[in-house]
Amino acid sequence: MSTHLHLVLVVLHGVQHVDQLVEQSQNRDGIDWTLTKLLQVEGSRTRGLLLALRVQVQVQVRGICGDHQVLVLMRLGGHHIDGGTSGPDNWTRTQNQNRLTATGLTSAAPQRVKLSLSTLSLELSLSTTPRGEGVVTMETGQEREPVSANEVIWKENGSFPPIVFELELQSPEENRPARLCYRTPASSCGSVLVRRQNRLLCADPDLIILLSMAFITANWNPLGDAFYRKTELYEMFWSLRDGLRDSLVAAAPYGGPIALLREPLRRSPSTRPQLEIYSASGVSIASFPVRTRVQHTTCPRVTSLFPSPVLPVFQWKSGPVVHLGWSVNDELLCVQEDGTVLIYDLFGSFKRHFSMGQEVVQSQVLEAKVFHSPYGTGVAIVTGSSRFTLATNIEDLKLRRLPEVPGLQGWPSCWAVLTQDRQTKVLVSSGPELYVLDNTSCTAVYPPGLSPQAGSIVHMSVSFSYKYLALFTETGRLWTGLSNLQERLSEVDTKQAATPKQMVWCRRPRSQQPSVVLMWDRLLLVVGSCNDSIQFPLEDQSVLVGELDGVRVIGSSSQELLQEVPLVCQDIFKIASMAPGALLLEAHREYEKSSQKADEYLREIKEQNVLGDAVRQCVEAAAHEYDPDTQKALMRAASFGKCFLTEFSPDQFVTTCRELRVLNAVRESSVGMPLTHTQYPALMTLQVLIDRLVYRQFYPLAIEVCRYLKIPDYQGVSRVLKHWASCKVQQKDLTDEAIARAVCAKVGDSPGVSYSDIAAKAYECGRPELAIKLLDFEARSGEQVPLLLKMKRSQLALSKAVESGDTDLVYTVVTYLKNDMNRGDFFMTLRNQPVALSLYRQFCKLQEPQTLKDLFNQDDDHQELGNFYVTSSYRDKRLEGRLAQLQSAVDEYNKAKNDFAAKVKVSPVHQVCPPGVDGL
Amino acid sequence: MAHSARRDSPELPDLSLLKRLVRDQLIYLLEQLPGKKDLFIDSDLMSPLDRIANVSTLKQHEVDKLYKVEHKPIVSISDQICFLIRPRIQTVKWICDVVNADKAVGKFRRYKIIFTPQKFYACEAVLEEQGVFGDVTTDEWAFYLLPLDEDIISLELPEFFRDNFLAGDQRWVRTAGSALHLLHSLFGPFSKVYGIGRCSKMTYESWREQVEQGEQKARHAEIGNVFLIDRDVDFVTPLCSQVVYEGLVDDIFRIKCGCVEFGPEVTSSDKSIKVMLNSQDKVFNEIRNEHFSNVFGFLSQKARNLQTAYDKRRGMDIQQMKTFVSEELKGLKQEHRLLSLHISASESIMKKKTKQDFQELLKTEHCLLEGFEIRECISFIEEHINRQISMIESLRLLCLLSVTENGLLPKDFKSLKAQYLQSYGADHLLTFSNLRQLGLLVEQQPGETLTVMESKVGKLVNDRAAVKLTDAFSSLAKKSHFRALSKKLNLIPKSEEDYDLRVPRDMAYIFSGAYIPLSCKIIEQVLERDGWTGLEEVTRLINGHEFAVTGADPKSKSDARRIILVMFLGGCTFSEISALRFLGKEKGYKFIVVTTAITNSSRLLEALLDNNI
Repeated sequence: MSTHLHLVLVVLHGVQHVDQLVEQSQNRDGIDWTLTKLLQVEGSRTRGLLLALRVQVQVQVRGICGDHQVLVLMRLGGHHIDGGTSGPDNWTRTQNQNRLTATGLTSAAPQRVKLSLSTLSLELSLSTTPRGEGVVTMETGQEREPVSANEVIWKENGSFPPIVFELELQSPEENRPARLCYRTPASSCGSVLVRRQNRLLCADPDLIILLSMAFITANWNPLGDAFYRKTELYEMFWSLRDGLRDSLVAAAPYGGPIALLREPLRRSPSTRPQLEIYSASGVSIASFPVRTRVQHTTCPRVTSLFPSPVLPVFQWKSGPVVHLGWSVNDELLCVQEDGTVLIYDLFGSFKRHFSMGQEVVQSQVLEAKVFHSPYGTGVAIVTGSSRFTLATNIEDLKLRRLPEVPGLQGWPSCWAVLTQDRQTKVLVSSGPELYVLDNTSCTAVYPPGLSPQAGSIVHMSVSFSYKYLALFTETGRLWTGLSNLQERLSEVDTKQAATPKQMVWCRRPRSQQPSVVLMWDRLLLVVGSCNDSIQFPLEDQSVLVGELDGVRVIGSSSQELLQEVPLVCQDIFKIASMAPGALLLEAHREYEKSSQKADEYLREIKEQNVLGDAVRQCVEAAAHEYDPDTQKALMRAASFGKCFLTEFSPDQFVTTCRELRVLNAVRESSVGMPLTHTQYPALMTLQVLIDRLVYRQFYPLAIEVCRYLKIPDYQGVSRVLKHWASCKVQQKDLTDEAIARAVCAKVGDSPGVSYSDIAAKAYECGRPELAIKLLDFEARSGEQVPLLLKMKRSQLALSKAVESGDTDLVYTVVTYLKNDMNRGDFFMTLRNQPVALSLYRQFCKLQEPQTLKDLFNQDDDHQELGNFYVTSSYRDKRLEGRLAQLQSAVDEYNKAKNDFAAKVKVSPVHQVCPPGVDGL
Repeated sequence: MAHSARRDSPELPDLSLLKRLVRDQLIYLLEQLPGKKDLFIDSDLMSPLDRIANVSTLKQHEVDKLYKVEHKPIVSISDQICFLIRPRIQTVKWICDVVNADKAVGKFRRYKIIFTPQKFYACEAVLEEQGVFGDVTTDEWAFYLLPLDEDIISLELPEFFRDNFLAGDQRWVRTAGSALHLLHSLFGPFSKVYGIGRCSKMTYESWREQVEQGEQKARHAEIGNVFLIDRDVDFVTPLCSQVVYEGLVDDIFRIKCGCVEFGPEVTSSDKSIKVMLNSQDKVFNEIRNEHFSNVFGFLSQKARNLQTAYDKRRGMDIQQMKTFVSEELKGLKQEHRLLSLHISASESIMKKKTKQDFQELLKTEHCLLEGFEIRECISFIEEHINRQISMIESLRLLCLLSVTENGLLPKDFKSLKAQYLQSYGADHLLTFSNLRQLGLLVEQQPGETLTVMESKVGKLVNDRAAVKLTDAFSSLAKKSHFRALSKKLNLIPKSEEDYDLRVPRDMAYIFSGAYIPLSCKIIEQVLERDGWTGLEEVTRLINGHEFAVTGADPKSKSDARRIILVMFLGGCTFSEISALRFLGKEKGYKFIVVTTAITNSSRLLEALLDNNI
């Protein structure tokens, strides 16, 4: 039986030119022979898939149950065969259209049915054989009609193995339910587990591949030459009572956090809008109520009615929030109606605020946008007086008020921020007109090629790279082109009259078929420039987040990534693909089954001398896949192929393995950073990734990542430890002693971790005692000094500097003390530090002789004072001055009880003795 | 001497590597300032620089004119000026003046200051204070070590001695540490480090710190052991008259960077000539370590040999004559020239020494060292002072007297000081104050006022500071225990009379058999004992800070272990180097001497004069 089955499958696999197939097979007897011949005739090689073929095949199978015709008609989610032979037109020549005739396959039927697995997009039609013995039969419906889920129902009953799936097929024409059963024996090889409704597990050794492959392409949707796929990223952890309805949602790109402000516009004094911050997988990071000023002024009792631990922090601020956005540093920007922008960190603690200008207070902010440019994160607002104000970089705030838009009153119908030619501009649509606003001027522009009857523009969107622009008009036409409005890419009639709720570009680097994703309440429409489109029904309120290589669709229960399937994945997984990578994957699969076919496939690849390419393709495709099992299958295939290559650099393989492991780790829903492999190197260098992990306080994971990637300690582990320690010292509930001990135990003497930095942090947090404790661990006393100075522990700083033996450091402290203390204290301090004192004396001798004198005076060092006067007497040019100096010297010598010196000095001969002339 | 030498002396490492390194770095620094530039060089960097890169090398790297730093307004017209200076505040101040003067007349130039061997914060502070910090670029030329000979390396930092030991300014310690680190990274790892003295200890610590910060490379050690010694451990040796040939030449003609300038009285012409004195000079190499009394004999023997060699040409046929001329004659001529130079130098030395009653002077020194007939010595010194023979010489004798006698009696002190001041000028009052501070010339005091003061201060401040204070005071006014040390270490050989200087028994030969230099004796003892055990009494008398640390690499080859680096912090004399060479030959060691500068009695005392402010 399995031979029969096999026949059917392979026939379908190998088919590209059905006419030839028919010819060949008609002449042959015996199934196996037919297959071999087929391959040869095709000049093609067998590979995985048949399901996407829209095939009508008539095969003469004589060897089995007499002469029977087998006619198979299959259609799967609108997939085509690649190349010119695809498309329904090519198939019209075949006879017995829409009819599958299978003969003698009665008992094999259950197995064959397994081909029809994707509930959403697969429509499998089988018609009964003339004898009609127990085979599932069904007429197809209309071509290209999307098949809804309830036409094919799988029920999982019982646990694995064995599993029983039931498929009910409704034949539209005959209206006769067809029931199909499939029972697997106990699994002997791997399994594909279904997590959601359109995936299932199959454990049949022969069919497993087919099934898993079917699943990879199952969610592929063709758009022009390319495919789009929607991958589920997460089932969201959050449980939102009202879904995303009436909420202001901001999600940062690159798998950033999500901020959610419920009911921002409700102003009743009894409820406050609640601001919540979630990770991309919906894990709550912070949540706090935002008080509005209205409440504060009109209803001061509210405070007591709604006590909240965080409340006092937010009391002074917060008008109604108009817009939320994330900065590149994962800071949350809340733009308020009065033009104030509040900045919170990831954990919802307030950092700072700034205003978008005084005039905004009166006119109020109508709309705001947070945008990212090469200069950082910017904010743009439009006020009630229809004026735009821009801040290109919030770190270096410079407000620019843009010129007035002629004729614009109140809300602009839509607008967007553009960054081009190193300038930030605003594109605004006002009625039928479109204007570009830059610093000085307001220019009317006309999108080239926009049909005159299109009407005014009601929605616009700029691509992630600011290179492309999409405009949606009131008549439902979608114009796409370059953002400099120099060139049109396409214009498509979406046949949707309503203004979309959101419109986002969906591209990827080296995109074959860029598209625009439009979202209405119940519909997601992907429109490509080729006039083709894909429709997805939407179950609930969702939010689109534009990414570098796709669009994230965040719904209240799940999050999906919609993206164009990368070319390399297409090559490998596309139905009837002949790419080397696809062959290699197939070869490896056969190898796992201990089948000699592995060798055949391999030979085929080797004959074309493309094994290297095959390995590279598999590795590259693995990088783009989101599902770890698929990644594994591809990497194993690559590793298998690599064995047959002698001079092949393993670098790509190793790097991809490492990167995938790291990516899979951060994609883990508890971490919640759904980064794709394309995004990872684009902005997220390894350093940034670790920084982000650290910032989210995933310290153990960050350390694991550093260790795994063998990042040098001072860049990796040490940095993480440093952050950890800096975070640790802020824990208010632990004693200084406990924290110091904990920090020391963890950090130990890791290279590159500076205890002084940690101590500086502790000091910033107002824990000077802890800071000093931590400083004691610092091995290099030189490092302790600056902080000690900052903490005004100058005595300690000086002695540490002296201990370090670095005279430059001692000198630094001395200079600091000199400016910081009064003279008396300064000299007293120096007295206790002979090293510093002598250093300072040396300096004074050359630079500040008067200070030197004071220094001696302070110490009552009369001997030195005497010497000092003698020395300075030599410098004095006038005789009287010199005598006076010498007299002082005599006085000092007397005080020093150095009679000898005092007496020498009275000798008149030497008093006038000029310097340099020794005794007479 | 040769008969007692051990034959298996290890080979010395190639120190010229150091020169190449610094030359490359200098060239790199000069090229950092592209285009023609004038170079101003600190006067005391002139000779060391000459040993590294000659004028043509500098010219090759676009140095236009060379000037000496003279602390006067400059005349250079170049629009790029490079200063190559020691990190001294006065020089930096002068540069500030230059820059500010240019600014005042609106002249724009580019200035680059290259500090060598390193820059100090104080210098930058001065630049900042004078408002020129932004106008100049600064750089460091890590010129730590200048190899003077195959076994002598000098830091060429004469001010190290005064700054560190007199002023208590420790900024050069790090420099010394870096120098040691450089040697360690080139010729290390060291297997054992010994040291004595406060400064040595700090240098060692500074070096250790740098080693820990830097990365370790496993390499084959070329230098096994290191000995660090402070100059203030032994002041007696540099205060004695040197009688070994090299030391004598240094005392009289002053060797500068391994190069001596013989004046007209030596060259017997009206020009003076500069001669490099190192092991390349065959004649000098054989006599440098000899007691002066042997030198004449040796020289005349050499002259006779030369004559014989010349005489060979008689009775030669043409062919032989040809080879003689092409092969030997040049060498002979060269040797002849050097020989005649050294002979006339010796003659000149003889003339000077006999004129000043040199024998008498030596006798007095020997008496002081032995502690005999002190009264007569004092009279000799008095006479020396009153005849105003030499300001420095008189001071030297005074110091030697004080150091050996552990201070002078108050009566003697007063009278000698008064006589000295009257003879040489009252400004030496300050010099005396310096000498007192250093413990070179002190008055014996019945009740130690110092201790009283110490305890008084000690009560005022906390304990930790008090310890440091005591430390500081003890280094300020150190008591000499020369007599006790001399007995402990047998520094004075018993039978002076029959000491055969031609066949020296011990290191005492460098002082005519009268005294074994203390520093060298300590080194010998420590190496013999492989540590300080058994020398506790000695270290107590020297005032401690001794240490011996075993390094990481015990399996260095035995040859390296017998190469010993001796680092003198504060300078060393040629006599000490000769003594160490002798010790090396006796025991099969090779010593490499690293010193902050080559010193002698005059340089030591000149550094302490205070009339040069």
